[in-house]
Amino acid sequence: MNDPLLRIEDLRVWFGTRTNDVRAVNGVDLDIHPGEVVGLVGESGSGKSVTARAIMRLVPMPPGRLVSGRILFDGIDLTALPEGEMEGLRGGRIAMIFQDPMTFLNPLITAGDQVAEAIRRHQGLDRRAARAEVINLFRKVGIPSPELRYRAYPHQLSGGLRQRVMIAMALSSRPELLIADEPTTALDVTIQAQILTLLRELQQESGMSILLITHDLGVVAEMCDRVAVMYAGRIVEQAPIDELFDRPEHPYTIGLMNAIPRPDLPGKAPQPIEGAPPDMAHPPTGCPFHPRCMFREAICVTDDPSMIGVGADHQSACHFAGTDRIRVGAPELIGSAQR
Amino acid sequence: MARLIVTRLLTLIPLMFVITSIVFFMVRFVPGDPARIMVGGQRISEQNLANIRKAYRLDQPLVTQYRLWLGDILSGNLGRSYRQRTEVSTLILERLPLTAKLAGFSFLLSLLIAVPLGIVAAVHRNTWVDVAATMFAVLVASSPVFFTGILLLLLFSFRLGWLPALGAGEGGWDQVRHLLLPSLTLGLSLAAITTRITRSSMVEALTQDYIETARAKGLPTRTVIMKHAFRNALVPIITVSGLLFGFLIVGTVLVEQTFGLGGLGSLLIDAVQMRDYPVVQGATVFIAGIFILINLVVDILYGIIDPRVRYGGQG
Amino acid sequence: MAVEAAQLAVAPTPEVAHSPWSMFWWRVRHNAKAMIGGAIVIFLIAVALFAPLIAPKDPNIGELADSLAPPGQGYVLGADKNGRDVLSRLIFGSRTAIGGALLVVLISEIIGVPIGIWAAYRGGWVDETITRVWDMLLSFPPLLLAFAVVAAFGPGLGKSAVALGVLYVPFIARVVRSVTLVQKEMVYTEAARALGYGQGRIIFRHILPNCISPVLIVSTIDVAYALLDLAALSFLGLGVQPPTADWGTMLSEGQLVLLNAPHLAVASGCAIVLAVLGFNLLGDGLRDVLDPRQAQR
Repeated sequence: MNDPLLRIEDLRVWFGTRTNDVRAVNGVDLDIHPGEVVGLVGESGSGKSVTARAIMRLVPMPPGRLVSGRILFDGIDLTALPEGEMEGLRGGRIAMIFQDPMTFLNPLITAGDQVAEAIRRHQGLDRRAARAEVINLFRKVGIPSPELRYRAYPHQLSGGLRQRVMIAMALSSRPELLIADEPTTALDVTIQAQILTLLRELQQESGMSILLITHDLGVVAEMCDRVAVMYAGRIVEQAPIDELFDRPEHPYTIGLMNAIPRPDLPGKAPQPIEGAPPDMAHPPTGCPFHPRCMFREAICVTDDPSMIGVGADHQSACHFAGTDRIRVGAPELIGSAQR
Repeated sequence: MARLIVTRLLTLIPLMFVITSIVFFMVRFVPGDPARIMVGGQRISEQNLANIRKAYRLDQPLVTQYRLWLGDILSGNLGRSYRQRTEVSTLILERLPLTAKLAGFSFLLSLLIAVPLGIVAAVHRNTWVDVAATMFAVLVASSPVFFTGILLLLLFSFRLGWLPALGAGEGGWDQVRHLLLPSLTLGLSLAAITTRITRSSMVEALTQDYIETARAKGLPTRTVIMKHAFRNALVPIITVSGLLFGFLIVGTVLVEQTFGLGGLGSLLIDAVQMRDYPVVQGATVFIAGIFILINLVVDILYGIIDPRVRYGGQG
Repeated sequence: MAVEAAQLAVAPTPEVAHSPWSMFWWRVRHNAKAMIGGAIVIFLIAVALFAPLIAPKDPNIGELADSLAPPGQGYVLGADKNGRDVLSRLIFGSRTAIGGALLVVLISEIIGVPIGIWAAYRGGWVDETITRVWDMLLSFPPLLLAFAVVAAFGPGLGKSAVALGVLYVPFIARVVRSVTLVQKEMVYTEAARALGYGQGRIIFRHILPNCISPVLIVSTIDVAYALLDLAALSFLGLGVQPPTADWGTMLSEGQLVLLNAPHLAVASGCAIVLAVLGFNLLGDGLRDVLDPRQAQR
């Protein structure tokens, strides 16, 4: 495979409090290749959003602190880039869309002007040219009567339209990498599907890479080429999409899958994972997942497992990855994992 | 927008009514003869007292008095001063320009101090800059306007001799020199309040999600702060500016007294001290009217800045 | 993101939680504003209470020979125009200044608490009318209406305090009303009503106790405002009348002799600033301690 577009190496972002550091991101390694759609999955508080913001260098520091790691984008180390150059990349070669298009759009500026602002910043167009470009983009992301919507304020648009405005803003400078942080979570189910379809079409058309952050495995199944599962500030399993659904090798991934409602399997109620994610100011010893793990052994309490390869491009950070123990633990699921 | 102005008028007009009622009935409820109170205990013949009663309609039933008085106010007639034998409205219009200049300069100076200070404090939250700005605001807000004025007077007039101490000066440049110290006094006091408001609404605005979007667009920090955060921070600042205007009015009264300026405030205080009740009534009603006008202007500004208000949609 | 960051910066809590009281003290001790403000307030109240014991001289008897004597030479803070000791007058002046301000707030509480409860309880047009009126009055500076009162009734500390006290009613009543509205709907009040408790008992057992901390916060800050407003009235010659010792009156006397004897105005002004600062800090600190949610806004 060719060189990755984005390579994250041993990223650690901690947040200082008066007494203890909260280790929000605690050793993430991740590659994203050109044209690839990678899903980053995990419960809230697992560090997905902080990872995404660390790539964009949007983590407020302080209280945040980069403890270790590099983020290489096309060979450039983003963690060492001067702020001025980083501003040029943000919204240029790397763009981001956010969870709630209501709160993430400025209520006092029209939708069109907010997009035009990005275009003028990165392409140096004048007001009129930027306006024409915005209207083109609006048309492209499926906003009806774009001239009218240009002058609309965010509160005058529906949730779906707002997210389309956000997407238009992100795509305005034809980014090579799009980071999408829970882009459909705040939307109605039918609108969710439309937005995902739009994102997939736009990705296929432009060939950009997408890092899709979500807690919803259903969304991942629909969109992604590869999945990374995050828990307690690090990636605990990653695999190509089919591989992961057919053969999960980490108890946490299995737990996430068991938690999905399965209308196709009547009588199988979703089972949420018991317990809560660890307090990252006081992370547990050994494997961070052991307090909630159904396969726990003595070694899990004492030793922190590292990532091991369990198949082609498939790694898992579990002491029992690749053994029968895990597969025996979830027979029902394995037999029926279909997307 | 039109609906907003109408609803605001519906609260502001009753306010006017309540204030005029308070100032009207106050003197009528004082035990004793209103006519004697009006002359302030001076020796006066029964004939003169009767004349006063007639002139001020005190011989008529209370309700009639009130109705006639309201009618007069609506037609711009604020009555006659007892002591100065002049129309109250003439007295007010004579004194108004000086007070208006004082209030205007003070407001401008307070913005020049408070807005940058509040923004810097919010952007560098919890650093020494923020702590210093907050301490300045708390300290100045705890000092009565007239004491702040006296301290500035001691420093700039008596110690350094840079600026004149008292009076309003004669036209043009001289007047600006004379008004500088009073305006700085009132501007500082006002800035103590506005700095805190600017800071807290900037802090609020800077933690909003759309700030992250603006940064993710690659906008420079300056643009993010001024265009995206500050514009939103203006909304709460404008909401409380009616309150600020009330502070400004009281402030001019006190500052005029401190620096010996013959403005509207001195007119009011002199009238209170001499119990020249028609002037007190007239000036209070006039100030209340201006107050209501300013509040309306503020509401219109509010609509210009916030489209959610302009279009009547919900946030 | 913003939420996460805010949660990281939560206020400290005691390692071991005890009774509400020890919890309260723990928080107060760790709040610099409350501690400094509280110390200033306690100091000033002690000065006012023990004025005759502390004051070095009689505040009302002066040596005309020592008129406007500068600080030092037997007068720690100098003497005023009548040769009276400024420090002693400041010490006695704390009685009118702080006593007056406390009186203003007490009056506003005595009227405001029942009105707030009544408005919330009655609801309907009563509530509507009362809140309308006080919303209007809140937007208009109380001092301006106090001028009209003085013009009608004449100057004096008592009259000024009563006038301001009445004009301060909305500040208290507004808070009490909102607390009452919440408590009225709370489940346990419903339960209390179901058990057949009378309105009076509900008000005294459930509503008033819950009003204590918000009223305390607002009252403390109102004392600071009252100090400023009363000082302004005295400064304008409308409040405390000479020869009674009072900070505002001393300041206006000091203004007349500013060129020759600045110590008089500076000393009395500093006394006002100290008192206002003390009550302001204490009020802010109490809000941090008693109502953390409100304080974060």
